[in-house]
Amino acid sequence: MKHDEYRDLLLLSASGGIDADEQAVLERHLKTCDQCSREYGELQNLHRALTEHRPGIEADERLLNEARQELRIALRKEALRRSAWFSWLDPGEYGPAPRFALGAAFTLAIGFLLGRSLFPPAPVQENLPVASLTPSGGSRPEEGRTKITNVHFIDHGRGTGEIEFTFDAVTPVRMRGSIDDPKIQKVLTHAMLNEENPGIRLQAVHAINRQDVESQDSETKSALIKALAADANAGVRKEALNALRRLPFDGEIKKALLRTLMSDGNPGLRVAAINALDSARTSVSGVDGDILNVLKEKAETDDNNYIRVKARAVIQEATGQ
Amino acid sequence: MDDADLVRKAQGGDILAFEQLVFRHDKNVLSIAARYVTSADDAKDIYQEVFLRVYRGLKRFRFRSEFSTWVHRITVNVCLTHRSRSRRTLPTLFLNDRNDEDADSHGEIRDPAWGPDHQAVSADISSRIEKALESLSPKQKLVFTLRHMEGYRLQEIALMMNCVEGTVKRYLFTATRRMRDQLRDTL
Repeated sequence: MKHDEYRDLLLLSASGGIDADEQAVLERHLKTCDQCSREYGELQNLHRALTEHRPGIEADERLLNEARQELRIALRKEALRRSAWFSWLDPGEYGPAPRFALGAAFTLAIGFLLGRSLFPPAPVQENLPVASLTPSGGSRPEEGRTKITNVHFIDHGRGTGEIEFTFDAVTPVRMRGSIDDPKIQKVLTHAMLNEENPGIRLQAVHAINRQDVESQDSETKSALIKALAADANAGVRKEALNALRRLPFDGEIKKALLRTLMSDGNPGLRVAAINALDSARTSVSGVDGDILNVLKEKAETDDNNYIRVKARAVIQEATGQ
Repeated sequence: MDDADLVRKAQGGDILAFEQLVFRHDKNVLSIAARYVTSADDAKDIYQEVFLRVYRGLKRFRFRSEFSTWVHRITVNVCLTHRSRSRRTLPTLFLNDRNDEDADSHGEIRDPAWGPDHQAVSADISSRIEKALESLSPKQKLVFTLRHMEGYRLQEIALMMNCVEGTVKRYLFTATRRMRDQLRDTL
């Protein structure tokens, strides 16, 4: 073997990139060659430095939990986006019909625009929706606080003395009524899922939690499941979990609790989820394969001692093993 | 339940099965990402992009390779095309400072030998290593970090990068030589 070939072996040996035979050949050469021996020392130093002063960042438990939390939110957005657009247009799932429908809608839109340009409509006489906004039920718009934005002129009224335009009117509305009123529930679920302020989201879940269980519809349950899975604030997730515990245990709630137990970065939430699953097991459902699989994994891998012990206890009670 | 069973369930829309797949492989993905970049935000970006691509491509996964190999290949591709979101790579010294604060806040007791001088020297060496790594091409850097810092075998790296082992050796060879040359005065 030539000297340069030994030097190639040296470089690869630093990272363990050569097999045992090549290593033996190299070591024999090192005993007789000062230059390679010195170079080998340098490479050993490099390897030691990389081990002691590892560049980059540590992928520790905290970073992993943050990444999982953010992924969950991103997946939820992705799923919503797909359900709104992708699935509708995906010929693999629904066949060619949606494409025809889209084509037809496009043709219709072109026809509509052509018709409008050839036969312009007469000026609109009736009031715009904002003018007809009247208080109904227990809600009323607060006077003088309407904000008007996005004014868009349709007809500038040259020569006719009339003008036509559209605008967005945002009016604060005060609502008062029974907490079991469906209208109030709708606003609360909207606030729980969409408000930026976590304090308001928490208040919304609190209010939902005070409702009669029987008055809660499937929409409220779905919203609670979404909040438990994706709210960035642990307090909101915990309150959503408490609200779900009051509802009759079913497959959707089971999945939501399992997901929390599997992936929530907050140990308090995971503890609450395993306790909820345990209560449901003893009072309603027993333990099925899905729950057992997750419990077995948590009994081995969860970094929280209580959860590991609890998971083992539930498995033992459920299976007698 | 093995990966293949979970993949089939996830392909049928079972989100819980998908999450179990994520939890089985995400530590490796985050670990590779965290070695490849130098900010936590960039590592999380790579992590998220990898699993979004997995989620989007899962229905087209045909079991021609192991699921883990597929995930690793996606990880490699995302790393190689990753551009830092805000070029906000923190100097290593800041990163170390932050970690030290965290250690204090958890009441950990430090080794008395780990004095300020030692920390400064260590931060300096880490900074030089990072600078040297930045001088490598993306593929050289990835092969080098996968081998030297994550301990993957050459054959595994070749599978991830969808190339032959000889190509991986070539990248590793060039990267090691350049790293040694750049760090000769430091070590």
